[in-house]
Order: sequence, then structure tokens, then C-alpha cells
Amino acid sequence: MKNKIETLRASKSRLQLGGGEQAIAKQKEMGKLTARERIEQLLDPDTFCEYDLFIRHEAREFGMENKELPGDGVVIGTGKIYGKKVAVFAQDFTVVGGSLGYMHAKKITKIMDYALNMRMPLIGINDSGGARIQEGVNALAGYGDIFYRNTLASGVIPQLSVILGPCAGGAVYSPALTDFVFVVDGISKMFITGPEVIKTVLGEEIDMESLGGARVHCETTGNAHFFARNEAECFQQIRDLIKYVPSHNEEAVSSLNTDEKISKKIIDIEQIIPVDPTKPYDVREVIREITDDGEFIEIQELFAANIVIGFGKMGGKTVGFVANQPMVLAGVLDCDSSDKAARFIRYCDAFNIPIVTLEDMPGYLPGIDQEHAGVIRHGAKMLYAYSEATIPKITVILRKAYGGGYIAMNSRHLGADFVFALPTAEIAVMGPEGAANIIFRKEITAAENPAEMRKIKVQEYKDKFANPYVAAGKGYIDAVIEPNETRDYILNALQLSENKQILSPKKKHGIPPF
Amino acid sequence: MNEKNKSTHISLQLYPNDCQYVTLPNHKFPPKKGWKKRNLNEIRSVIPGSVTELFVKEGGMVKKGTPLLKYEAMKMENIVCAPADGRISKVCVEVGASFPKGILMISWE
Repeated sequence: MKNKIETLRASKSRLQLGGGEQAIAKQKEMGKLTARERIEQLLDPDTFCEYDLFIRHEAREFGMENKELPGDGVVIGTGKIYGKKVAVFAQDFTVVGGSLGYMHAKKITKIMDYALNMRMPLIGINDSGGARIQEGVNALAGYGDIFYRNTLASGVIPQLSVILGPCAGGAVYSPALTDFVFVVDGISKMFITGPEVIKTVLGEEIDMESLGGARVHCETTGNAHFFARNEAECFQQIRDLIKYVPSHNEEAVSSLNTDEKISKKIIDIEQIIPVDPTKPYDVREVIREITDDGEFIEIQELFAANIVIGFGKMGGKTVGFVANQPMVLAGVLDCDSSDKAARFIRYCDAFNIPIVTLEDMPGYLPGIDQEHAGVIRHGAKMLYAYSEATIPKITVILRKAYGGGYIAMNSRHLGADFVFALPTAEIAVMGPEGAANIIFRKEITAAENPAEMRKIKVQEYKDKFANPYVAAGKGYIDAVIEPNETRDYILNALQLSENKQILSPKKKHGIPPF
Repeated sequence: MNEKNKSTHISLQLYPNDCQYVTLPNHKFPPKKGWKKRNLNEIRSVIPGSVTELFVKEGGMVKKGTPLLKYEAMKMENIVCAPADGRISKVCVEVGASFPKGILMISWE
């Protein structure tokens, strides 16, 4: 028996070394950790349980049959994060560049099936050169199997992708199908076709970092959700996010903790929001005033920053926040910000996370590029997402709520359960200047001093409509509240809507304006 | 070809050996501009608007964070600050003039 155990231990430690000392040294040279080190840093200590270490690869051509590929280039298993069960896979770049072969994909789909059947979050660490060319169509089949499961599991269990190396070609579509993508500066690279191909086909020259580096995906494409400066920071971000998301879509939702200590938080929103609607401020400060202990985890911080999305806790329960950011592009809605918000709203709805919407925006951004980029189609996503969502929906109008944007930002008309407004709220079809120019065109042009007349008429319009009381008079707003009462009103609304039920018409699924 | 499928950007390629090969570009493709690396010494407008105040002159030295101009867009006043230390080499906007997105406002060395 002793002998047998010794043999097992020996082969285990040999296989756990992956591609061997030399390949590990090379990985370190690129500033990257090994697959096992990554898992160790990500999970609670000593909770990782590995499966399929002894898997053998399927490549039988081009002399591959005699090669040993430890674990076939991927590590799979389960573990815990803050005591919560999670399933993990990590591609091992030290074994033939982490290339995806048939058995490699089988391992990944196995852990995906585990995660889906046992209802726990799935975290995938990607670091791979792509399909293993020697395995031909088998490698492609592997990708297809992964994409299919990503889609099946979408909205059932949280799926997180971490890009810690190259992720090119078809491989990028698995992360794109998952809920959240994490990238690290200088390490993550994602693209469909690399700089070489682009140069050959189109003659355009670009380096890898400018084409598909971490920053590009966080700022420009919106493919990534979390940006980290190094791997350690990235793993902490994942751990933090896991604290906020449920393990699966049917997890029992705990009741709100209405502890005296939590609800008696001193808040000062009055000081943050300027009364003058032309003065910007950071809406994230308002969110931090509202949440428990001022904690807020922002998602896609660098992409379409004119809208802020993220999670906070209220009464100990996870709440999704969608807020216009007056500090960036005046907080307008455009293609990217509508896209960003719509997907987040659908995420919250899928996982029963209530949404709090903070509104302060002048409307949709006018412009030829916006119209031609399809702002109608993109903007519609937001209307769709809010209308479709059956979770508790609470809106607080902080200041400006003009035009189509007012409707889009979870208005009463799209099914908001509670709509509150601060006394600084202005709800109207358009801003006072624009409206006065249209309504009083005749008076203004006929006046002796048109500029003076315009000023008077703008003021007249402002006095009449630039306030929350017209909408409140129609019942579109439930209450006009003091800024510092915001948290209490939201907490109360969350508590009241705990057992909310909406019966939607039976259908297979809707057709959102993707 | 069907009249309604014609676009202003059609490219037709004819071959003499009895075969006709047609290549049509994507309608959206022709007006696309090539990718250019961002010039970090330029500040361009990110949103249509108008300048309401200018705080700097050509040739002036600025430190990182110095306010350069105030510009109003979508009913909001924004202060544009210097992203780095340097000397203002060009001011391309005037107070009161309105401009679209993407125009050069200030460049420096």
C-alpha cells in the first residue's frame, strides 16, 4: 500500500508542475503567475479541490501522440470564496501555450456542468494561445461545447471570466458570453484577429496593446468590466464581487436587516448635489451616502462613464445601482451608456437583485454620429430592460429628468414601483431654454428686445415646469422628499417590495433590441 | 440588379471569361475612418457644446490640473483641466462659438 501511495504522490506532484520548471520560468518572465498559483490566490486557503489531473490528451497526429501534456493544459476544480462555494477552471499556459484541445475542452465543460447542476458561480481563468491546431476540428468542437454551456448557464449561475494572458480568435467568445470580464494591465490581450492578420489583410498597423489590451477593453470596447493593475488586485476584485452576487438565480433572498444602527446612518446628500443644474458633481458620492457603510462596487468604471452601474448593500441586502453621472458628458444617455445600463438591469433582474435608479440627465445625446451609430436601437435596450424587469424598481430623481431620458430612466410608466424626487428635480419634455424658444417663438421674435424677452420666457417656463410638483400632481412621483431622507425612503421601499410578484404574459422569450 | 439594392458605394468587378463576379461593400463601411493613435498633446471636444470662458493664452505655461477652459454642453458646465505640465502652443476655440464633437480645442508641447 505504501508503495502505491508513494507512486500516486510522485505522479501527482510531477503533473502539478504543468509544463515544467523551464516553462514556469518563462511564464514568470512575462510577469504572470502559474495557473495553480492563481487559483490559490483567488480562493480561501486550502479549499481547492482539483479534478481530472490525470486526463490524457487526444492529439494523435504530427508526433503529438508521444508527448505528455500534464492535465492537458487546464486545471479544474472547486473551492470557496468567503465561504461561498465556487467552481473554477484555469488554463495553464506552461503546457503547450494553454492551447485548447479536445480533452482540455472536456475538462472545462465538465466543471461548467458541475457548476450549473450544483448551482454555484463559475470562474474561468483564460490564458491560452487558442485552438490546438494539431487537433483540428476537435478543438473547434471544444469551443462550441463551451459557448453552448455558457449560454445555458447564463442567468442561472453567475459566470466570471478572467483574462490573464492572450485570449484570441474564437476563444474570446466564451468570456463575452459570461456576466463579468476581469482584465489586468499589460497582461490581458483580447482580439478576434491579431495585429499580424490585420496588417496582412488591411495594411493597418497597430500594436497588440492598442488593439486589444486591458485598457482598450475597459475604456473603448466595453468588453471588460473590471480593470486591475496586477493579478493580486484582480483576484481581490473577484472576491469582492462574489460577496455581492447570489450563488444562483433561485437563491432564497434574505430579509432586509432594519437594524437601528444601520438605518440611523447620517447622510449628507444636500452638500453633494448643487442646486444650479449646470453644475456637475460625482453621483458616486451620492450612492456611497445611501449604501450601508458607504460601500459600492462599481462595474465598467472606465467605459461609458456617463452612466454609473454597480452593487451596494442596503440593510445587508445586495442592491443594483444605475445612476446618471453629471460629471461625465453631462450625464447624457448615448449608445454605449444605454448598452451598459441595459445589460446590467437584465443581470439584476435575472438574479433577483432590486434596482435603485438615480436620475439626473439632460436626455439623449444629439449628433450625427450617435444617430448613425444606432442610438434608437441602443437606447431602446434600456426601455426594454427596465420594462421587462420584475424585480423591485425604485427611482429617485435628483435633478434633471428631460424628455425621452425621463421615460427611459425607470419612470413610473415603465413599471417603477416607487418614484421619489428631490425638491431640486426638474421634469419636463426638454430644458427650459429649448422649450421657451419653441413655445414662445412668436412672442420672442415680435418683441423689441428678443434677448430680454427670451430671458423672461425661459424664467416663466422654469417657474412652471422646472420642478417636481407638476409630475407629483399627476401621481407620476410618489413623494417629494428631502435629500437626506433618501436612504430611509429607499430602505422602506425595498422592505415593502420584498414579496413583489408580477405576472407577465406567457411567452418563450421576448425579442430585445440587441 | 434590383434597383433598391443599389447603393452609392457599389463596386462592380467584371471578368472577361463569361463569368461575372460582383463584390459589394458593406453600406456602412466606406465612410469609416482609419484608426489613428491618439495624440496626447491635444485636447479635443468630447461632446458638442460651446466655450463660455478661456483661462489660458497661447504660449502660457500650465501645470497638470490647471483649468484651461470652461465649456457648456448639454446644459452642463464643464471645466477642462490640463492633463500634464507643458506650454500651450495653440488655442483653436473662441469664447461663445459652438462646435461639434471631435474638434481640436487646445494643443500643447
